[in-house]
Amino acid sequence: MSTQVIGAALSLRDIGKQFGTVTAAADVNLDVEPGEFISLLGPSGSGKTTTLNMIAGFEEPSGGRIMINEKDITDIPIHRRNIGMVFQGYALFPHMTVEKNVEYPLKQHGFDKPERKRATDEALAKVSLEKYGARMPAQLSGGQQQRVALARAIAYKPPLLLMDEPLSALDKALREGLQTEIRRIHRDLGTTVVYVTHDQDEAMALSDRIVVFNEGRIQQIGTPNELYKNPSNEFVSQFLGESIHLDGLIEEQGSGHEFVRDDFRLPTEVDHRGPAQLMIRPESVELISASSAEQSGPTVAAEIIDKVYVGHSVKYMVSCRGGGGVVRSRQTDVDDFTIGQEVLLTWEAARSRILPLATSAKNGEES
Amino acid sequence: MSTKQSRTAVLAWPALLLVALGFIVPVAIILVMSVTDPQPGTQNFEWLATNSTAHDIMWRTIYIAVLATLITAVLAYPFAYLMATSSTLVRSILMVVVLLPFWTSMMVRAFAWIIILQKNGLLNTVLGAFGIEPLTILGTNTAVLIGMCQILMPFMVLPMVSVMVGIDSRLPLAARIMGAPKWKAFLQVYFPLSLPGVFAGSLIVFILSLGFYVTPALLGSPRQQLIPNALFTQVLELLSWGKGGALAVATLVMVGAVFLLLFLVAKVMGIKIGKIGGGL
Ligand SMILES: Nc1ncnc2c1ncn2[C@@H]1O[C@H](COP(=O)(O)OP(=O)(O)OP(=O)(O)O)[C@@H](O)[C@H]1O
Ligand SMILES: [Mg+2]
Repeated sequence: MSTQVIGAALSLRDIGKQFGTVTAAADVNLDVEPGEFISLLGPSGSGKTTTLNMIAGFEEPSGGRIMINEKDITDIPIHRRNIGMVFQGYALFPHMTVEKNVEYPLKQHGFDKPERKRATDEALAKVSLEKYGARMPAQLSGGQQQRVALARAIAYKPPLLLMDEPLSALDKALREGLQTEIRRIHRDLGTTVVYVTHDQDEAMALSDRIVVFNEGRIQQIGTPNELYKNPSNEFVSQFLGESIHLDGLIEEQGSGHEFVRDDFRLPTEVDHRGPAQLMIRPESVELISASSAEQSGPTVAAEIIDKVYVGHSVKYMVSCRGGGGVVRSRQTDVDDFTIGQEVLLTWEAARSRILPLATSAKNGEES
Repeated sequence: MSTKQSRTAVLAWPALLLVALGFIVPVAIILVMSVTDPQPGTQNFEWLATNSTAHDIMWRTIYIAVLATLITAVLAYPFAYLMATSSTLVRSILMVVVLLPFWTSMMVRAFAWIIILQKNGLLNTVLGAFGIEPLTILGTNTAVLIGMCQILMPFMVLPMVSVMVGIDSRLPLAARIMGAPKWKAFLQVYFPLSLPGVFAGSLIVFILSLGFYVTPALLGSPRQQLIPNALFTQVLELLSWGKGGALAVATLVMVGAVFLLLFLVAKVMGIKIGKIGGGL
């Protein structure tokens, strides 16, 4: 079996990038552990590619330093950074066969011929394309081309592997297959991976930790679970998966604080006054019919605006005054709500999170 | 052919008619004349095969055409590269620069070169100021080449640019992140991908340079004639349509041979032949 590599440690210190008046990235600070799989997640234009390009050396940072294994590489030319990369949309060399493509980095790094052959075969086997070595890239399907791009990036076992939305051009089934493959390769190889995506499910499924970007700035860094359960601001909670959001106010109440709406009040630890938002994950919310009397927690009147069957559960889109979102219930439990029906949302107070609005970003990072 | 196709095919008729009347018919007439004038027989081709002056003229023409192709290719490549890799604004400006010569007639440009290259011309005046001996350029093949290359430049630049803008700009970056220094990334990735443009441009320039008349007539010497000037002499001065016809047929064969050669080279190098056409 293949030997493991020692993954590189990557550190970004106050990295920023300015394109004229556009701030593509600012104050980016990140420490990636050796062998870690980290995702940069954020909406379009949030600075993910820019950040990745600065690590690769395609863009020069306007400020800050980039370190690999404690060594400053900010001014080292691209070809001496010892980084592997999978580009969005493959970027295979169209004039070379699959084999020559995969062999290319090995050649540049001075491997001798038998070693090149062995590593090429191994990389192609890893992505199940052993038989396609002699083809030209144009003679492959999209998924196969993406696998060649993957094989080419891992062939010489770089200690750091960058991937920029490698699966975004593929359909869902292919994407999931390749996600499994990428995870397996990462495990086998032990290389450090920085993975760019705007798909939260993909980031959740693959990563040890996720870095959430918005408007060029890091919003939060954490494990998928941390981000999902403890988003540090409104943006992160909105962006990471579906949830119910309810607008309200935080008011001082005696010695503590309370989140206040005209349909319920909840005590909160958040030390803040002013507009706030309450957030509940879809699986923590229960839907009950409007006439039901059994209420243990807070309740909010809502209307069902859409209903989607997903596997064993039903997803309800609900809307209510000052809020709305998605509720997920098991099909066997509740399947009797119809679109347009008036319902009540209820949940255990402890399962909800309250986030102050406006100043939320700063508060989040301190916590 | 479907009815829709046959209906749209009508659109091609005017152009086809023009090609038929303006090209195929005269070529056929010349072909016929080359074996019938002044009397039926192969005497014109025998003349071409045995006359050493005719040989000199043909070899000189090929030699100049090859040189013109090489020189324009070497000069046009960096220019085209610059065009293909710069911003839209810079590219438009450079495009105007390339097309500028098209706005003046060949005649005017040839006279401009005379002013620059003649014995007491601009070039020698400048050289003289630095104490350099005056050069004899006007009336030589060098002057012809200079004049031709200047005119031919756009025909080389444009096909090159059209292929180069189609090259994914991330490919050289991909090569670099895989460990290739800048020059290797260029040589191993960008350059091979730009070759269809080089081939297309070379083909056009070579063929065009076989047909230059005004430039050699004004900048060259009558003792160093090229095929078009020899044709003129044969047909319009000596009224020998047959010999002129034979010379024209020989040129046609040469063009065909070059086409074939380039296509073979392209095939061996794995360059898609369709792409050469696509580059035009
Ligand atoms: N070369 C450039 N010149 C000017 N602005 C740029 C340039 N490259 C990126 N930007 C801007 O910087 C911001 C961040 O872009 P970036 O490509 O990093 O986004 P992204 O997070 O990768 O988005 P996507 O998910 O759409 O790929 C955007 O607003 C973009 O318009
Ligand atoms: Mg991007």
